[in-house]
Amino acid sequence: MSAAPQVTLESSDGEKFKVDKEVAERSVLIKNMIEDVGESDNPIPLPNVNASVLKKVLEYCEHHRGDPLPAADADPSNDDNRKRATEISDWDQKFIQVDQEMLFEIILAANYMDIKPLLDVGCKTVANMIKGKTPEEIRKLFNIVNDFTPEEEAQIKKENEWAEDR
Amino acid sequence: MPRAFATSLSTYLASWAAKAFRSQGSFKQSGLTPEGLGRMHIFALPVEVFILVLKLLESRELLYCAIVCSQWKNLALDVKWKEQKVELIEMLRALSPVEPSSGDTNIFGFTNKHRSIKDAVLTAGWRRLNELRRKVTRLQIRKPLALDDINYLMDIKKSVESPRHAFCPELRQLHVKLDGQPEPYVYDFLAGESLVQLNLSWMLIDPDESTRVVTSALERIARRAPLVEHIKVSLFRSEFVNYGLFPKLRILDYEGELSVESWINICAECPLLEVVHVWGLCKGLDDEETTYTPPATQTLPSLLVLRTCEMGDGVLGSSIVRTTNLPQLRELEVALEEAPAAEVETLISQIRRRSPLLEKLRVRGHNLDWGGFASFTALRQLELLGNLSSFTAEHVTEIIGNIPNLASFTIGSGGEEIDRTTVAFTPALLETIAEQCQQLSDLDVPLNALSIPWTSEPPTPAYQFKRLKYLALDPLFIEPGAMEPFAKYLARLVPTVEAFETILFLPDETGTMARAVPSDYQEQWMESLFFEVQGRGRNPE
Repeated sequence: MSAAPQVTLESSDGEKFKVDKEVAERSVLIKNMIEDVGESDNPIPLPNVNASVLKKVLEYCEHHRGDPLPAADADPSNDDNRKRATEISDWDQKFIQVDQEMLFEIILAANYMDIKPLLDVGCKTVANMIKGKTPEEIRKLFNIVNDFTPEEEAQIKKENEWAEDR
Repeated sequence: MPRAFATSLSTYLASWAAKAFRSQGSFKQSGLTPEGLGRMHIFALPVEVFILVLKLLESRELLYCAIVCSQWKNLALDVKWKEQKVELIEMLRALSPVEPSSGDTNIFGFTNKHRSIKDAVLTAGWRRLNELRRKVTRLQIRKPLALDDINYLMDIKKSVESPRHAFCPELRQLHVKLDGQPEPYVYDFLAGESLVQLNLSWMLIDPDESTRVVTSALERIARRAPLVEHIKVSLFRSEFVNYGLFPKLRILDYEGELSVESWINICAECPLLEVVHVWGLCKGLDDEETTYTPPATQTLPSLLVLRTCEMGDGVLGSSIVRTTNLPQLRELEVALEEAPAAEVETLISQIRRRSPLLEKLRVRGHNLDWGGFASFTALRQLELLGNLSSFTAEHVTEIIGNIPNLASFTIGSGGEEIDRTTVAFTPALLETIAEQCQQLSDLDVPLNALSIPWTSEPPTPAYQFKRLKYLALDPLFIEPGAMEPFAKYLARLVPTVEAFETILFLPDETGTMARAVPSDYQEQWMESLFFEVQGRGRNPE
């Protein structure tokens, strides 16, 4: 049997990555591209993803190469999904332990390359960073400038508060 | 043609990139990124992606996000109001927020200053209530209102009595769960034509009363909300019959009694049904008093999923399958409990003939012909729960050999009394199965670990399940001393397993029946098993 078919991906900064087609096709973008234009030895350019991010993304794809494809109808606002917010598998957890800059880069790449499970892991990680924090702590964490007056803050709170203090 | 390829690819990519950037307005584009930030900032995330993050947060966390900065405010509040379920009582309560310092509140959380909704509305004014009610898209009612409040709500209702006016015009999902409370139709005016999903749980002791109340409530809701696509009804000892009210129905999740006559009506009146889940009792069938004769067959042309789960002897699922043609069916779950072998055989071949696209099949019954399922060649998932004393490794060979795309195969005992003599699985048989189905992704088998002598050094299995990710050993019969070696043995048999489930049993005095193992012992066993399997390649701490 011949070796598994491979494709070459080219990052925005020109670095080339040769990977198994099965691995690259975790990205729906690439999968559709290969289906549309056919297989070729030419590198597939990814102008929105730089080499360090692409390397990380491919590491994820490699580890999850055999996973079943996610169901298209998974509704993130579903209660069960919401409860699962904090649940990230051990390997993914380790994988996503990166600085904020890289985390957002990975999320952007996953979104661009259409890798839903990776996008989920990224979003869950950001959600977990927000959970349990006060507005001030959230601002500090993400380096956000507060542009509300204390009165405006109180107003938003008053108008939208439920029974959170139950 | 390398050149042509490169051209088409770059055109393709350019169109993709353009699409991506058009649809993904990010905070950055609106010029709101704090100046001097050279590095990647959370504001660089596209709005759609940031909304995915927000959807994972709870109500209070969303409120905090809204306070963080003006860029986040509307997004977070939108998700809070539109994506989350809002309790009616809490929406009304929001008119008059309780100060956390105030300990002087009645049971509904109103301050004593506002004893009722009416009081609160009068204080806060209609304008505020109007703002709130128009935002809500998912409303649930789980807490009963006080009588005064119900009366006031009826007053509000009169003001929106026209079917064109709904109290919450944007409402897409309505959940009402008020077991034992009277009069669910107090709430019918809440929803309008935007309603897509209705979830009603209503249990009264008197079944006739319950049927009357629920039917009346559903009729009133249907009049205002004829576009409902998804109904979940949970009734106790009563039956809803008026399905013609909801002709757009795609998903029916029904818990209660169901007669064959009702099923015929469902088929005739809801032709768009795609998913049906019936949990309950079959009413009237095989009842001598019933004179109703169903037509031979009817068709649900779009049904993709049918799951029936029932108490009693399993006539509901089989009569649905017997009377209905389901040409598009992809997933079926049915119980054939006490049906005689000949009938089971007829029914199974009928399913195969009528639903050739079936991918997922779950059958439970005492008289299953195990090997007969090998002819469902399109299956991807098969679960059979039956009398294991007739099960052999040859059945596995037959099934695995004939169903090329089978990814998951579950074999288990179908609800019969747990009796060690009928639990045929032994480690030896399990290994034979492993030899035959190395690609399977999950397995659920009862196992009798008593049948081979356990020594301190467990045997090495001759074959392994090489891709098995889920293993349930339920029930597992085991002698106390065998726990550790057995765990070691299993760890070798299923090296890829990520999840286990089991209920352990110990032999009792007679040696034939078994009793459940105390939970601390089970935990200990699971722990040692997890240690064996998951500790691989890791240093024990």
